[in-house]
Amino acid sequence: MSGPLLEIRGLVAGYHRDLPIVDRASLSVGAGEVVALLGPNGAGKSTLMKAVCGLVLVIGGSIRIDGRELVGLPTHAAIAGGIGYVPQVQNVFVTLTVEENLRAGGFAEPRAVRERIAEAYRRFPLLADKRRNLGGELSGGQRQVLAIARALMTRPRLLLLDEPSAGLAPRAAQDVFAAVHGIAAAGVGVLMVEQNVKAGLGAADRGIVLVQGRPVLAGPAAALGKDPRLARAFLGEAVDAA
Amino acid sequence: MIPQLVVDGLLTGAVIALGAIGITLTLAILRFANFGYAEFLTVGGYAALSAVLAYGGTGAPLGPFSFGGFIAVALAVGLLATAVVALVSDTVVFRPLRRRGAGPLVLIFASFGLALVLRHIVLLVYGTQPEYYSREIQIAVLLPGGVRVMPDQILVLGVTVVALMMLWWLLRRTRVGLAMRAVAENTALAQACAIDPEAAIRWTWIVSGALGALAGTLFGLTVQLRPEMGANLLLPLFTAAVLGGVGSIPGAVIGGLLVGVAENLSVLVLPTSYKATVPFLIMLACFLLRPKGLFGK
Repeated sequence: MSGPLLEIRGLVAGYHRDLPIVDRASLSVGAGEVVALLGPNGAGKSTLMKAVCGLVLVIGGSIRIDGRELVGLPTHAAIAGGIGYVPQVQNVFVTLTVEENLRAGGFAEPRAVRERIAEAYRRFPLLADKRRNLGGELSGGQRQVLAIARALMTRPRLLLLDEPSAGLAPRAAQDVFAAVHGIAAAGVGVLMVEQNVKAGLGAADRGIVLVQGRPVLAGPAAALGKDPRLARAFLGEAVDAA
Repeated sequence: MIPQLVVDGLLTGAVIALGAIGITLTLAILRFANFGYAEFLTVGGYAALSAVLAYGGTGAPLGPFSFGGFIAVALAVGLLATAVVALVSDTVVFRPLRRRGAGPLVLIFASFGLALVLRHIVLLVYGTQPEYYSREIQIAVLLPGGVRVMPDQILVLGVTVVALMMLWWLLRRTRVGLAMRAVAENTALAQACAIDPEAAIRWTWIVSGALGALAGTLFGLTVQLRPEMGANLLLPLFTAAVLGGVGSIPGAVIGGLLVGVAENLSVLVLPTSYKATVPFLIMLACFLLRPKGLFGK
Protein backbone atom coordinates (compact mmCIF):
# COMPACT_ATOMS: atom_id res chain seq x y z
CA MET A 1 0.00 0.00 0.00
CA SER A 2 1.35 3.46 -0.83
CA GLY A 3 0.86 6.63 1.22
CA PRO A 4 0.71 7.10 4.96
CA LEU A 5 -1.35 4.95 7.29
CA LEU A 6 -2.95 7.93 9.00
CA GLU A 7 -3.40 11.15 7.09
CA ILE A 8 -4.93 14.21 8.71
CA ARG A 9 -5.58 17.24 6.53
CA GLY A 10 -6.79 20.66 7.72
CA LEU A 11 -8.40 19.23 10.85
CA VAL A 12 -10.51 21.62 12.89
CA ALA A 13 -11.92 20.04 16.06
CA GLY A 14 -13.02 20.83 19.59
CA TYR A 15 -15.83 20.54 22.09
CA HIS A 16 -17.92 23.41 20.69
CA ARG A 17 -18.39 24.42 17.09
CA ASP A 18 -17.46 28.03 17.77
CA LEU A 19 -14.40 27.21 19.90
CA PRO A 20 -12.03 24.95 17.94
CA ILE A 21 -9.06 23.60 19.87
CA VAL A 22 -7.35 21.89 16.95
CA ASP A 23 -6.99 24.45 14.20
CA ARG A 24 -6.28 23.35 10.61
CA ALA A 25 -3.83 20.66 11.67
CA SER A 26 -2.24 18.38 9.10
CA LEU A 27 0.02 15.43 9.85
CA SER A 28 0.65 11.86 8.89
CA VAL A 29 1.83 8.61 10.46
CA GLY A 30 3.27 5.72 8.47
CA ALA A 31 2.92 2.02 9.15
CA GLY A 32 5.49 0.88 11.71
CA GLU A 33 6.37 4.47 12.54
CA VAL A 34 6.31 6.01 16.03
CA VAL A 35 5.40 9.68 15.95
CA ALA A 36 5.56 11.78 19.10
CA LEU A 37 3.05 14.59 19.31
CA LEU A 38 4.56 17.26 21.55
CA GLY A 39 3.52 20.69 22.70
CA PRO A 40 2.74 22.84 25.72
CA ASN A 41 -0.34 22.31 27.88
CA GLY A 42 -3.53 23.21 26.07
CA ALA A 43 -1.96 22.84 22.61
CA GLY A 44 -4.72 20.43 21.55
CA LYS A 45 -2.68 17.21 21.46
CA SER A 46 -5.22 15.07 23.32
CA THR A 47 -8.11 16.71 21.48
CA LEU A 48 -6.49 15.80 18.16
CA MET A 49 -6.29 12.18 19.26
CA LYS A 50 -9.89 12.18 20.40
CA ALA A 51 -10.89 13.68 17.05
CA VAL A 52 -9.27 10.73 15.26
CA CYS A 53 -11.48 8.41 17.34
CA GLY A 54 -14.61 10.53 16.92
CA LEU A 55 -14.75 11.37 20.62
CA VAL A 56 -14.89 15.13 20.00
CA LEU A 57 -16.62 17.31 17.44
CA VAL A 58 -14.85 17.47 14.09
CA ILE A 59 -15.70 20.84 12.58
CA GLY A 60 -13.71 20.54 9.39
CA GLY A 61 -10.96 18.72 7.57
CA SER A 62 -10.25 15.11 6.85
CA ILE A 63 -8.94 12.10 8.79
CA ARG A 64 -8.10 9.05 6.73
CA ILE A 65 -6.73 5.69 7.75
CA ASP A 66 -5.46 3.65 4.81
CA GLY A 67 -7.35 6.12 2.64
CA ARG A 68 -10.69 5.52 4.39
CA GLU A 69 -12.39 8.64 5.74
CA LEU A 70 -13.15 8.51 9.45
CA VAL A 71 -14.89 11.86 9.89
CA GLY A 72 -18.58 11.27 10.59
CA LEU A 73 -18.14 7.73 11.84
CA PRO A 74 -19.27 6.95 15.40
CA THR A 75 -16.39 6.09 17.72
CA HIS A 76 -17.12 2.37 17.89
CA ALA A 77 -17.07 2.18 14.09
CA ALA A 78 -13.82 4.17 13.82
CA ILE A 79 -12.17 1.93 16.39
CA ALA A 80 -13.41 -1.21 14.67
CA GLY A 81 -11.89 0.21 11.49
CA GLY A 82 -8.35 -0.33 12.76
CA ILE A 83 -7.56 2.05 15.61
CA GLY A 84 -6.42 1.29 19.14
CA TYR A 85 -6.78 4.18 21.57
CA VAL A 86 -5.30 4.53 25.06
CA PRO A 87 -6.60 7.64 26.83
CA GLN A 88 -4.42 9.57 29.25
CA VAL A 89 -6.61 8.96 32.30
CA GLN A 90 -9.27 6.40 33.14
CA ASN A 91 -7.77 4.11 30.52
CA VAL A 92 -8.81 0.81 32.12
CA PHE A 93 -12.12 -0.38 33.52
CA VAL A 94 -11.43 -0.40 37.24
CA THR A 95 -14.49 -2.51 38.10
CA LEU A 96 -13.69 -5.20 35.52
CA THR A 97 -11.01 -7.85 35.93
CA VAL A 98 -7.87 -7.77 33.80
CA GLU A 99 -9.34 -10.53 31.63
CA GLU A 100 -12.65 -8.69 31.29
CA ASN A 101 -10.75 -5.55 30.27
CA LEU A 102 -9.11 -7.56 27.51
CA ARG A 103 -12.46 -9.07 26.49
CA ALA A 104 -13.86 -5.55 26.27
CA GLY A 105 -10.90 -4.55 24.10
CA GLY A 106 -11.67 -7.41 21.74
CA PHE A 107 -15.38 -6.65 21.62
CA ALA A 108 -15.35 -6.00 17.86
CA GLU A 109 -13.90 -9.44 17.11
CA PRO A 110 -15.61 -11.91 19.46
CA ARG A 111 -14.44 -15.03 17.63
CA ALA A 112 -10.80 -14.10 18.04
CA VAL A 113 -11.01 -12.97 21.67
CA ARG A 114 -9.70 -16.15 23.29
CA GLU A 115 -6.69 -16.35 20.99
CA ARG A 116 -5.97 -12.61 21.39
CA ILE A 117 -6.11 -12.83 25.17
CA ALA A 118 -3.56 -15.65 25.07
CA GLU A 119 -1.45 -13.47 22.77
CA ALA A 120 -1.71 -10.55 25.21
CA TYR A 121 -0.61 -12.77 28.08
CA ARG A 122 2.38 -13.96 26.07
CA ARG A 123 3.38 -10.40 25.23
CA PHE A 124 2.70 -9.01 28.72
CA PRO A 125 3.19 -11.89 31.21
CA LEU A 126 2.38 -9.69 34.22
CA LEU A 127 -1.21 -9.51 32.96
CA ALA A 128 -1.47 -13.29 33.03
CA ASP A 129 -0.51 -13.25 36.69
CA LYS A 130 -3.14 -10.60 37.41
CA ARG A 131 -5.92 -11.94 35.18
CA ARG A 132 -8.43 -12.24 38.03
CA ASN A 133 -7.53 -8.89 39.61
CA LEU A 134 -9.74 -5.87 39.08
CA GLY A 135 -8.32 -3.09 36.92
CA GLY A 136 -8.57 -0.80 39.94
CA GLU A 137 -6.21 -3.04 41.90
CA LEU A 138 -3.29 -2.57 39.48
CA SER A 139 -0.42 -0.11 39.91
CA GLY A 140 -0.04 2.83 37.50
CA GLY A 141 2.49 1.00 35.33
CA GLN A 142 0.42 -2.19 35.28
CA ARG A 143 -2.66 -0.22 34.30
CA GLN A 144 -0.77 1.39 31.42
CA VAL A 145 0.34 -2.04 30.20
CA LEU A 146 -3.22 -3.33 30.50
CA ALA A 147 -4.53 -0.29 28.62
CA ILE A 148 -2.09 -0.91 25.77
CA ALA A 149 -2.86 -4.63 25.72
CA ARG A 150 -6.58 -3.82 25.64
CA ALA A 151 -6.08 -1.43 22.73
CA LEU A 152 -4.14 -4.10 20.84
CA MET A 153 -6.88 -6.71 21.17
CA THR A 154 -8.31 -5.92 17.73
CA ARG A 155 -4.85 -5.90 16.14
CA PRO A 156 -5.13 -2.23 15.15
CA ARG A 157 -3.08 -0.75 12.34
CA LEU A 158 -2.81 2.53 14.24
CA LEU A 159 -2.26 2.92 17.98
CA LEU A 160 -3.01 6.24 19.66
CA LEU A 161 -1.31 6.68 23.03
CA ASP A 162 -2.13 9.71 25.14
CA GLU A 163 0.77 10.35 27.54
CA PRO A 164 1.70 6.72 28.15
CA SER A 165 4.45 7.65 30.64
CA ALA A 166 2.40 10.12 32.72
CA GLY A 167 2.65 9.38 36.41
CA LEU A 168 4.92 6.37 35.93
CA ALA A 169 8.24 5.67 37.64
CA PRO A 170 11.17 5.94 35.19
CA ARG A 171 11.56 2.17 35.04
CA ALA A 172 7.88 1.60 34.33
CA ALA A 173 7.97 4.33 31.66
CA GLN A 174 10.95 2.60 30.03
CA ASP A 175 9.01 -0.67 29.97
CA VAL A 176 6.06 1.07 28.32
CA PHE A 177 8.27 2.68 25.65
CA ALA A 178 9.96 -0.68 25.03
CA ALA A 179 6.52 -2.19 24.50
CA VAL A 180 5.68 0.63 22.07
CA HIS A 181 8.78 -0.17 20.04
CA GLY A 182 7.85 -3.81 19.90
CA ILE A 183 4.37 -2.89 18.68
CA ALA A 184 5.72 -0.58 15.98
CA ALA A 185 8.19 -3.25 14.89
CA ALA A 186 5.18 -5.41 14.08
CA GLY A 187 4.05 -2.77 11.57
CA VAL A 188 1.60 -0.81 13.71
CA GLY A 189 1.73 2.97 13.32
CA VAL A 190 1.92 4.75 16.67
CA LEU A 191 0.92 8.33 17.36
CA MET A 192 1.92 9.19 20.90
CA VAL A 193 1.19 12.34 22.87
CA GLU A 194 4.01 12.94 25.31
CA GLN A 195 4.50 15.73 27.81
CA ASN A 196 8.06 14.62 28.55
CA VAL A 197 9.83 15.90 25.43
CA LYS A 198 13.08 14.03 25.96
CA ALA A 199 11.38 10.73 26.67
CA GLY A 200 8.87 11.23 23.85
CA LEU A 201 11.51 12.00 21.21
CA GLY A 202 13.75 9.26 22.60
CA ALA A 203 11.02 6.73 21.91
CA ALA A 204 9.88 8.11 18.54
CA ASP A 205 11.02 8.08 14.94
CA ARG A 206 9.56 11.48 14.28
CA GLY A 207 8.25 14.37 16.33
CA ILE A 208 5.56 16.95 15.67
CA VAL A 209 5.16 20.02 17.86
CA LEU A 210 1.65 21.34 18.21
CA VAL A 211 1.05 24.92 19.43
CA GLN A 212 -2.42 26.41 19.72
CA GLY A 213 -3.90 23.52 17.80
CA ARG A 214 -1.53 23.67 14.85
CA PRO A 215 1.72 21.84 14.03
CA VAL A 216 4.57 24.36 14.06
CA LEU A 217 7.58 22.05 13.94
CA ALA A 218 8.13 18.56 12.63
CA GLY A 219 11.04 16.36 11.80
CA PRO A 220 13.07 13.28 12.68
CA ALA A 221 13.10 12.80 16.44
CA ALA A 222 16.86 13.07 16.86
CA ALA A 223 17.09 16.28 14.84
CA LEU A 224 14.05 17.82 16.47
CA GLY A 225 15.51 17.20 19.90
CA LYS A 226 18.47 19.41 19.00
CA ASP A 227 16.46 22.08 17.22
CA PRO A 228 16.64 25.38 19.18
CA ARG A 229 13.17 26.27 17.91
CA LEU A 230 11.72 23.45 20.02
CA ALA A 231 12.18 25.31 23.31
CA ARG A 232 10.88 28.53 21.74
CA ALA A 233 7.76 26.75 20.56
CA PHE A 234 7.10 25.46 24.09
CA LEU A 235 7.58 28.99 25.45
CA GLY A 236 4.95 30.29 23.08
CA GLU A 237 7.35 32.21 20.82
CA ALA A 238 6.76 32.27 17.08
CA VAL A 239 8.88 29.80 15.13
CA ASP A 240 9.39 29.30 11.41
CA ALA A 241 7.52 26.14 10.52
CA ALA A 242 9.69 23.30 9.32
CA MET B 1 -44.81 -11.41 66.01
CA ILE B 2 -41.37 -10.06 65.10
CA PRO B 3 -40.25 -13.18 63.18
CA GLN B 4 -43.51 -13.03 61.20
CA LEU B 5 -42.95 -9.37 60.38
CA VAL B 6 -39.36 -10.04 59.35
CA VAL B 7 -40.35 -12.92 57.05
CA ASP B 8 -43.20 -10.88 55.52
CA GLY B 9 -40.73 -8.03 55.07
CA LEU B 10 -38.23 -10.28 53.30
CA LEU B 11 -40.94 -11.48 50.94
CA THR B 12 -42.03 -7.92 50.15
CA GLY B 13 -38.37 -6.95 49.95
CA ALA B 14 -37.70 -9.60 47.30
CA VAL B 15 -40.15 -7.86 44.97
CA ILE B 16 -38.71 -4.44 45.85
CA ALA B 17 -35.21 -5.81 45.16
CA LEU B 18 -36.12 -6.87 41.62
CA GLY B 19 -37.48 -3.42 40.84
CA ALA B 20 -34.55 -1.71 42.55
CA ILE B 21 -32.12 -3.62 40.31
CA GLY B 22 -33.90 -2.18 37.28
CA ILE B 23 -33.60 1.30 38.75
CA THR B 24 -29.95 0.94 39.68
CA LEU B 25 -29.12 -0.34 36.17
CA THR B 26 -30.86 2.69 34.68
CA LEU B 27 -29.08 5.04 37.07
CA ALA B 28 -25.68 3.51 36.34
CA ILE B 29 -25.95 3.20 32.57
CA LEU B 30 -28.39 5.93 31.53
CA ARG B 31 -27.27 8.24 34.37
CA PHE B 32 -30.63 9.64 35.33
CA ALA B 33 -33.35 8.78 37.84
CA ASN B 34 -36.13 7.28 35.74
CA PHE B 35 -39.30 8.03 37.70
CA GLY B 36 -41.26 6.32 34.96
CA TYR B 37 -39.63 3.02 35.86
CA ALA B 38 -42.13 2.07 38.56
CA GLU B 39 -44.86 2.11 35.91
CA PHE B 40 -43.08 -0.79 34.18
CA LEU B 41 -44.15 -2.86 37.19
CA THR B 42 -47.76 -1.83 36.54
CA VAL B 43 -47.50 -2.42 32.79
CA GLY B 44 -45.91 -5.83 33.31
CA GLY B 45 -48.44 -6.89 35.92
CA TYR B 46 -51.39 -5.85 33.78
CA ALA B 47 -49.92 -7.31 30.56
CA ALA B 48 -49.71 -10.65 32.36
CA LEU B 49 -53.29 -10.12 33.55
CA SER B 50 -54.41 -9.57 29.95
CA ALA B 51 -52.96 -12.96 29.03
CA VAL B 52 -54.70 -14.56 32.03
CA LEU B 53 -58.04 -12.95 31.11
CA ALA B 54 -57.67 -13.97 27.46
CA TYR B 55 -56.99 -17.57 28.51
CA GLY B 56 -59.82 -17.52 31.03
CA GLY B 57 -57.72 -17.93 34.16
CA THR B 58 -54.39 -19.46 35.07
CA GLY B 59 -55.58 -23.07 34.84
CA ALA B 60 -56.13 -25.59 37.61
CA PRO B 61 -54.10 -24.68 40.73
CA LEU B 62 -50.69 -26.34 40.93
CA GLY B 63 -50.30 -28.14 44.26
CA PRO B 64 -50.52 -25.70 47.17
CA PHE B 65 -50.34 -22.60 44.95
CA SER B 66 -53.25 -20.33 44.07
CA PHE B 67 -52.52 -20.39 40.35
CA GLY B 68 -52.22 -22.81 37.48
CA GLY B 69 -49.46 -23.43 34.96
CA PHE B 70 -50.65 -20.72 32.57
CA ILE B 71 -49.17 -18.11 34.92
CA ALA B 72 -45.76 -18.93 33.38
CA VAL B 73 -47.08 -18.00 29.93
CA ALA B 74 -48.71 -14.86 31.36
CA LEU B 75 -45.41 -13.92 33.01
CA ALA B 76 -43.57 -14.34 29.70
CA VAL B 77 -46.18 -12.12 28.00
CA GLY B 78 -45.72 -9.50 30.74
CA LEU B 79 -41.93 -9.57 30.41
CA LEU B 80 -42.01 -9.31 26.64
CA ALA B 81 -44.67 -6.57 26.56
CA THR B 82 -42.85 -4.48 29.16
CA ALA B 83 -39.49 -4.85 27.44
CA VAL B 84 -41.16 -3.57 24.26
CA VAL B 85 -42.82 -0.68 26.15
CA ALA B 86 -39.45 0.19 27.72
CA LEU B 87 -37.71 0.16 24.33
CA VAL B 88 -40.47 2.25 22.75
CA SER B 89 -40.25 4.70 25.69
CA ASP B 90 -36.56 5.13 25.00
CA THR B 91 -37.01 5.48 21.25
CA VAL B 92 -39.83 8.00 21.48
CA VAL B 93 -38.93 9.96 24.62
CA PHE B 94 -35.38 9.57 25.89
CA ARG B 95 -33.19 8.90 22.86
CA PRO B 96 -34.25 12.07 21.01
CA LEU B 97 -33.49 14.03 24.20
CA ARG B 98 -30.08 12.35 24.60
CA ARG B 99 -29.20 13.20 21.01
CA ARG B 100 -29.96 16.84 21.71
CA GLY B 101 -27.63 16.75 24.69
CA ALA B 102 -30.37 16.93 27.33
CA GLY B 103 -29.08 16.83 30.91
CA PRO B 104 -30.29 14.52 33.70
CA LEU B 105 -32.86 17.07 34.92
CA VAL B 106 -34.61 17.19 31.54
CA LEU B 107 -34.64 13.39 31.39
CA ILE B 108 -36.09 13.21 34.93
CA PHE B 109 -38.95 15.56 33.99
CA ALA B 110 -39.55 13.53 30.84
CA SER B 111 -39.70 10.37 32.96
CA PHE B 112 -42.40 11.96 35.15
CA GLY B 113 -44.43 12.64 32.00
CA LEU B 114 -43.92 9.08 30.81
CA ALA B 115 -45.05 7.76 34.20
CA LEU B 116 -48.31 9.73 33.98
CA VAL B 117 -48.99 8.56 30.44
CA LEU B 118 -48.37 4.87 31.23
CA ARG B 119 -50.38 4.95 34.48
CA HIS B 120 -53.37 6.57 32.80
CA ILE B 121 -53.31 4.17 29.88
CA VAL B 122 -53.58 1.31 32.39
CA LEU B 123 -56.38 3.17 34.22
CA LEU B 124 -58.21 3.75 30.96
CA VAL B 125 -58.01 0.11 29.92
CA TYR B 126 -58.53 -1.68 33.24
CA GLY B 127 -60.34 0.81 35.46
CA THR B 128 -59.68 1.52 39.13
CA GLN B 129 -60.80 -1.74 40.70
CA PRO B 130 -58.14 -4.11 42.05
CA GLU B 131 -57.51 -7.21 39.96
CA TYR B 132 -56.19 -10.69 40.80
CA TYR B 133 -54.61 -13.42 38.72
CA SER B 134 -56.44 -16.00 40.79
CA ARG B 135 -58.93 -15.99 43.65
CA GLU B 136 -58.20 -19.54 44.72
CA ILE B 137 -57.71 -20.04 48.45
CA GLN B 138 -54.28 -21.07 49.71
CA ILE B 139 -53.39 -22.69 52.98
CA ALA B 140 -50.52 -21.04 54.84
CA VAL B 141 -47.42 -23.09 55.52
CA LEU B 142 -46.24 -23.15 59.12
CA LEU B 143 -42.51 -22.52 59.50
CA PRO B 144 -40.38 -22.89 62.63
CA GLY B 145 -40.97 -20.11 65.14
CA GLY B 146 -44.68 -20.00 64.39
CA VAL B 147 -44.14 -18.07 61.17
CA ARG B 148 -46.79 -18.58 58.52
CA VAL B 149 -46.21 -17.95 54.83
CA MET B 150 -48.36 -18.52 51.81
CA PRO B 151 -47.07 -21.00 49.20
CA ASP B 152 -47.27 -18.21 46.59
CA GLN B 153 -44.90 -16.12 48.71
CA ILE B 154 -42.35 -18.92 48.88
CA LEU B 155 -42.54 -19.24 45.11
CA VAL B 156 -41.98 -15.48 44.77
CA LEU B 157 -38.80 -15.81 46.78
CA GLY B 158 -37.65 -18.74 44.64
CA VAL B 159 -38.39 -16.92 41.38
CA THR B 160 -36.49 -13.88 42.67
CA VAL B 161 -33.43 -16.01 43.43
CA VAL B 162 -33.56 -17.62 39.96
CA ALA B 163 -33.98 -14.19 38.33
CA LEU B 164 -30.96 -12.89 40.23
CA MET B 165 -28.85 -15.87 39.12
CA MET B 166 -29.89 -15.31 35.50
CA LEU B 167 -29.06 -11.62 35.77
CA TRP B 168 -25.65 -12.46 37.25
CA TRP B 169 -25.01 -14.82 34.32
CA LEU B 170 -26.12 -12.17 31.81
CA LEU B 171 -23.88 -9.47 33.28
CA ARG B 172 -20.83 -11.66 33.97
CA ARG B 173 -20.86 -14.21 31.21
CA THR B 174 -22.25 -12.58 28.07
CA ARG B 175 -21.09 -9.93 25.61
CA VAL B 176 -24.24 -7.91 26.30
CA GLY B 177 -23.46 -7.88 30.02
CA LEU B 178 -19.85 -6.92 29.42
CA ALA B 179 -20.97 -4.03 27.21
CA MET B 180 -23.51 -2.88 29.83
CA ARG B 181 -20.91 -2.96 32.61
CA ALA B 182 -18.31 -1.20 30.47
CA VAL B 183 -20.72 1.57 29.46
CA ALA B 184 -21.86 1.94 33.08
CA GLU B 185 -18.31 2.55 34.24
CA ASN B 186 -16.85 4.63 31.44
CA THR B 187 -18.79 5.34 28.25
CA ALA B 188 -15.88 6.96 26.39
CA LEU B 189 -13.57 4.05 27.14
CA ALA B 190 -16.30 1.61 26.14
CA GLN B 191 -16.55 3.42 22.82
CA ALA B 192 -12.76 3.14 22.50
CA CYS B 193 -13.33 -0.63 22.76
CA ALA B 194 -15.70 -0.50 19.77
CA ILE B 195 -18.70 -0.95 22.07
CA ASP B 196 -21.77 0.87 20.80
CA PRO B 197 -23.25 2.66 23.85
CA GLU B 198 -26.67 2.91 22.21
CA ALA B 199 -26.82 -0.88 21.89
CA ALA B 200 -25.88 -1.22 25.57
CA ILE B 201 -28.57 1.31 26.43
CA ARG B 202 -31.19 -0.63 24.46
CA TRP B 203 -30.28 -3.78 26.37
CA THR B 204 -30.53 -1.85 29.63
CA TRP B 205 -34.10 -0.91 28.79
CA ILE B 206 -34.94 -4.50 27.84
CA VAL B 207 -33.40 -6.01 30.99
CA SER B 208 -34.71 -3.37 33.38
CA GLY B 209 -38.17 -3.48 31.77
CA ALA B 210 -38.28 -7.27 32.12
CA LEU B 211 -37.19 -7.06 35.77
CA GLY B 212 -39.89 -4.46 36.40
CA ALA B 213 -42.50 -6.70 34.78
CA LEU B 214 -41.36 -9.65 36.89
CA ALA B 215 -41.59 -7.56 40.06
CA GLY B 216 -45.04 -6.28 39.05
CA THR B 217 -46.36 -9.76 38.28
CA LEU B 218 -44.99 -11.21 41.53
CA PHE B 219 -46.51 -8.27 43.43
CA GLY B 220 -49.84 -8.93 41.71
CA LEU B 221 -49.57 -12.61 42.59
CA THR B 222 -49.03 -12.02 46.30
CA VAL B 223 -50.94 -8.77 46.87
CA GLN B 224 -53.16 -7.43 44.09
CA LEU B 225 -52.97 -5.42 40.88
CA ARG B 226 -53.93 -1.76 41.00
CA PRO B 227 -53.14 0.93 38.43
CA GLU B 228 -51.38 2.98 41.11
CA MET B 229 -49.24 0.09 42.39
CA GLY B 230 -46.18 1.32 40.51
CA ALA B 231 -46.58 4.81 41.90
CA ASN B 232 -46.92 3.36 45.42
CA LEU B 233 -43.75 1.30 44.98
CA LEU B 234 -41.73 4.17 43.51
CA LEU B 235 -40.29 5.37 46.82
CA PRO B 236 -39.38 1.91 48.18
CA LEU B 237 -37.71 1.06 44.86
CA PHE B 238 -35.60 4.21 44.78
CA THR B 239 -34.79 3.90 48.47
CA ALA B 240 -33.53 0.36 47.95
CA ALA B 241 -31.39 1.47 44.99
CA VAL B 242 -29.96 4.45 46.90
CA LEU B 243 -29.42 2.44 50.08
CA GLY B 244 -27.61 -0.30 48.18
CA GLY B 245 -25.46 2.18 46.28
CA VAL B 246 -26.13 3.33 42.75
CA GLY B 247 -24.95 0.75 40.22
CA SER B 248 -24.56 -2.05 42.75
CA ILE B 249 -26.79 -5.02 42.04
CA PRO B 250 -26.01 -6.85 45.31
CA GLY B 251 -26.62 -3.50 46.97
CA ALA B 252 -30.04 -3.19 45.34
CA VAL B 253 -30.97 -6.68 46.55
CA ILE B 254 -29.86 -6.03 50.12
CA GLY B 255 -31.40 -2.56 49.99
CA GLY B 256 -34.71 -4.05 48.83
CA LEU B 257 -34.74 -6.65 51.59
CA LEU B 258 -33.83 -4.04 54.24
CA VAL B 259 -36.55 -1.67 53.05
CA GLY B 260 -39.10 -4.48 53.04
CA VAL B 261 -38.19 -5.60 56.56
CA ALA B 262 -38.01 -2.02 57.91
CA GLU B 263 -41.44 -1.22 56.48
CA ASN B 264 -42.95 -4.25 58.16
CA LEU B 265 -41.20 -3.77 61.50
CA SER B 266 -42.28 -0.13 61.60
CA VAL B 267 -45.81 -1.22 62.59
CA LEU B 268 -44.36 -2.08 66.01
CA VAL B 269 -43.75 1.60 66.71
CA LEU B 270 -45.81 3.51 64.16
CA PRO B 271 -49.47 3.41 63.14
CA THR B 272 -49.87 1.19 60.05
CA SER B 273 -50.90 4.17 57.95
CA TYR B 274 -47.40 5.63 58.45
CA LYS B 275 -45.70 2.51 57.03
CA ALA B 276 -45.29 4.19 53.66
CA THR B 277 -43.13 6.94 55.19
CA VAL B 278 -40.44 4.47 56.28
CA PRO B 279 -38.67 4.27 52.87
CA PHE B 280 -38.55 8.07 52.80
CA LEU B 281 -36.93 8.17 56.25
CA ILE B 282 -34.40 5.52 55.20
CA MET B 283 -33.57 7.46 52.04
CA LEU B 284 -33.16 10.68 54.01
CA ALA B 285 -30.89 8.96 56.54
CA CYS B 286 -28.89 7.44 53.71
CA PHE B 287 -28.40 10.82 51.99
CA LEU B 288 -27.32 12.38 55.29
CA LEU B 289 -25.12 9.60 56.68
CA ARG B 290 -23.91 7.56 53.72
CA PRO B 291 -24.74 9.24 50.40
CA LYS B 292 -22.95 6.54 48.39
CA GLY B 293 -25.11 3.85 49.96
CA LEU B 294 -23.93 0.56 51.41
CA PHE B 295 -22.02 -0.66 48.36
CA GLY B 296 -21.69 2.48 46.22
CA LYS B 297 -18.32 3.58 44.87
